[in-house]
Formats: sequence, C-alpha cells, structure tokens
Amino acid sequence: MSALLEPFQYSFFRYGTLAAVFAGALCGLLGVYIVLRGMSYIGHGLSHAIFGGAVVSYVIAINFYLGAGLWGFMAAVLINQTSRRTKINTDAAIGVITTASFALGVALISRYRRFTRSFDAALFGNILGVAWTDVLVIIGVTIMVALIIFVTYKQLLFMTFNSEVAQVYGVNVRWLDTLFSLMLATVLIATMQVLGVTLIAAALVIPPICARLLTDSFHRMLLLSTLIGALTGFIGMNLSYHLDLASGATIVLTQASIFVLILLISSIRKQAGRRLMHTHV
Amino acid sequence: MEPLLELRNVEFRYHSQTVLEGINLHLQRGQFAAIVGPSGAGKTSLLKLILGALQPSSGQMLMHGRRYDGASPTRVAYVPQIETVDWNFPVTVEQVVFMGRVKQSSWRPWPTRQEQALVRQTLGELGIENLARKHIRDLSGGQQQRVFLARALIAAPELLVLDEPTTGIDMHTTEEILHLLGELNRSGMSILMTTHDINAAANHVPWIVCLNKRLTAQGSPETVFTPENLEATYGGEFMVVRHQGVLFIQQKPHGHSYHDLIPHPVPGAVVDSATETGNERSFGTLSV
Repeated sequence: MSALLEPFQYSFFRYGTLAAVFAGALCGLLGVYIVLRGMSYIGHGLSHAIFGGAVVSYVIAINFYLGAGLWGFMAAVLINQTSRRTKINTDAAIGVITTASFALGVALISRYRRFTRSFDAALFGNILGVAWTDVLVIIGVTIMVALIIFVTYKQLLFMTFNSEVAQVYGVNVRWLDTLFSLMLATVLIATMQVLGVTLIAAALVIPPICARLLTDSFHRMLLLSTLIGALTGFIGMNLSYHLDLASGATIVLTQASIFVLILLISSIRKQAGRRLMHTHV
Repeated sequence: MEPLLELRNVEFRYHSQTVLEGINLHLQRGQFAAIVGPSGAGKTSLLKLILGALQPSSGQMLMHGRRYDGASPTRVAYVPQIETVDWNFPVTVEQVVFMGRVKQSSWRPWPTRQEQALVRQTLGELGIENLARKHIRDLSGGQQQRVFLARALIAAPELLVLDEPTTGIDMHTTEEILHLLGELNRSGMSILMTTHDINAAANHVPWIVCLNKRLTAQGSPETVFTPENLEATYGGEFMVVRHQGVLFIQQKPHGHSYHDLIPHPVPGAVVDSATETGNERSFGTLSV
C-alpha cells in the first residue's frame, strides 16, 4: 500500500496526476462529439498544426497559449471552410492544412537553431514538468468546456446527429461549428504538455469509442467517456511511475488496453446473446 | 391570396453545372404538393433551396411575400431521406423527437415535464408511443419514418417538407404514410414532398410538380400525368390508365406494344370497355 502511495509525496507527481486526470476527462468529453461527427482524424491533425503555431509564437516572442491557440483555431476554421466551400473532403483538408503547419514548425526549428526551449515536450508530452499554473489552466479549460457543452447541449447534439437538418430547425450551425473549433483548439493546447502532439489524438478517440461500446445513450456516453478518460489518466500516471515508462505513452496504452478489454467483453456478451436466442428458437 | 411560398425564375448552379433553371413555383397555404422527376432532376436541390440550406444562383424566393435568402422566415420542419440518417448514433426515439423543439425549448439540456408530455403526445398521435425509449436502430422502416415525422410535427411547423418519405419502405407502409400526410393536410398543414413513386403520388397527392432541371408541368394529377408530360419529364414512353378514379402509370418496356400492357388490378378481372387516345387508355368497368 505504501509503495502505491509513495509517488504522491512528490509535488511533481501530484501535479502531474491532477493534470492527467483533468486532461483525460477533457479529451474524453470533447472526443464524444469528434468521434460521432466522424472527425477522429482532426485531433491528430490539429495537434500537429498547433505545434507549428507554438514554434511561430516562440519565434515572434508572443505568449505560447495565445499564439498556439489562435493558430490552432485558425487551422480548424480553415479546414471547415475548405471542405465546405470546395470539392475537397474534410480528411484531405486536414491532411494539407495541418501537415503544412507542422512542416512550418519543423522548418523554423531547423532555421532558428538558437532555441533554448525544448520542443520534445510539445511533441511527446512532459507531464513531470507540469507546474501548478499548468494544472490550473487545465482545470479552468475543463470547467469552461463542460459549461459550454451544458448550455449548448441540445444544439450540439442535433448538429452532431445531422448538421444539415439541425440548420433547418433553427440551430446556428456555422456559429456552433466555430465555437466547437475554438473549444477543440483550446483543449489541444491545454493538454499538449501532458500528452504531447503525437498522443493527443488517441486520448480524444479511445475513451469515446470505449463508451460507445458500453451504451446506446448519448448522455451516458458523454459521462462514461469523461470517466474513462479521467480514470485512465490516473492509472496511466501511476503505471508510468512504477514501471518507469513515459507518462503520455503509458496513459494512451492504458486506454488502448481498456478498449481491448471492453471489445472482448462486448463480443463475448454478443455471442452469448446469440446463443441464448438460438436456444429459445 | 398571397402564396405561402413563391419561387421566381430561380436558378441553381453547382460548380458551373446547371442543376435547376427557370423555376417558377407557387405553394398556397394548406396545399399538399409532390415534386416528381427522375434521379438527378434536382428534386433534393430544390428542397434544399426552399429550406435555405442552399442559396440560389439567381432568381427570388419568397415566403409570405417576403424575400428570403438562407434561413426560412417561417416555421419549416424537414423530414430528410431515411438513408441519410446515421442509425448507429446513440439516441432513443424520444431524444430524436425532442430535437424538433430545439428552438422553442429552454437552455437546459433535459426536457421539462411539459416537453416530455408533448413528446409523448406527438408519438401517441402517430401511434408509436410505445417506442419512446427504443434506440432508433431497432425500428422498422415505417416506424423510422414516423419518428422523423414526429420530430417535424413537434416543431409545430407552418410548412412540412419531406424528402422521399416513401423510399425504402414497403407498399403498405407507403400507403399508411401518405394517408397520414393527407390527414395532416386536411387539418390545415401545408406539405411539400419529393417522391420517386409516381403512382402513389398520383393517387394521394392533390398537386403534382414535374421537374427535370426545369418545371415540365404542374397541376392536379389528372392534368399532369399525361404521357406527353411524363415523356418530357422522364424521357421514354408512358401509358396512363384510369380505372374507377385510380390512376395507373406504367413506363413502356422496350419491345412491347401498349396492347400488351393493359393492367388487370384484380386477378382474373376482365376489362369490358376501353377507349384509347394516343398513349392514354381509359377503362370502363371491370367484371370479375
């Protein structure tokens, strides 16, 4: 027992765990809309785009959160507009815009070699370097996103179900889409340091698909996905400490393991259900 | 009387391709109209223009005499093609129906008691109250259509717009849905729908609009469904048969004469008199 509690005596671990729990919950919550809208690839793409924004904001010496946030938001809006106004599909628009943005970041790093800041943290996450202010930012973003989802719940649900029909029924889809892009960019920036650009996409997708396998109800899916995100954040952090593994990767691997477990259980239940039906027939 | 909906010389182009041209259409309050035409005729595009989901390239659209561009200025409810619905989406029947109140209800995520009662009442009116808690995937084609009709009705619309409500459902359910729409229309609701099923439209819908990029004919089924109008709309040759007030429309298959195509709606029935004008045959009485 004391071995399990041992890491909590270190403040870096306590901050890191808090950040991982809230980051997991946040990604799980917003991820439900991303998965149900068939936009799973956007988390992956936007996180790469934001990396470009992070480097640019460093080069022109503006606040990281502001620079990278604006960059990510612009990228999301640009993806939406490109797919809406041209023949280009969303996945292709994501591929072009976000990869170009990521390439810009890499190009700038190679050009300005005088960087003192390590961008490894942005790429792979550095949860042990999380400060109390970072934890506060993640908690603040979680509360803000939860409040927005609470207030726009019905509109967001309708838009996610069928955006074209929602518009006819009076939902301001364009405005809501922009708000969603803004939320997504904010979530990605807030969680970047915990999970890293390369792993955020998994945190946005795995908890919602686990929840989807467990329920047919939308609001239950939101709750379950948030819970799975938070729980895997906590378990992943502890495993990473005890197994001496990278924290971001361990959190994602924990989520993937839970997904496999749920998938197995639901397949067994489905097979048992079929067998029971055959017996009754 | 000022029409509920009016389209004046509307044209719609998509990526330099003309989808609709010269559309002049009137829909009076309380009218029930069906837009018919072949695949690719622009039926769904026309509906989307009316709904404000697409913008016309030129021309004017008016609702209650007021020009509009984008969102419709009146309460319009829309029932999409059931093929466009994601049936695996995690929602129940009552949640789908409640979506119809998105504009009128409070900011709270959950429905109030009155709203819950309204959902139940609307489902009850359509005879599907027992399905309220079912997942939408677990419904038959007719039930699915009724659920989306319930979502439209709960919005208390002035104009009900349906895209292919009879696609993907059997003949009996088609009959039921069109009968239901007829009842709604008799209670005063204006209805505009598209359909591929010209026989069902001919016998259930009082106003027909034939479309193939442009309007080829509009009027009552008796005046619109002539072999000439059908040929202008669909291409190919058609035979129209009237029997005891029921219209039967049949496209002439290749290599058959019209004389091979006399329909016998009742097995063993004999047609005792028939007149023929061009491609149109009218029958007297049937004896069985």
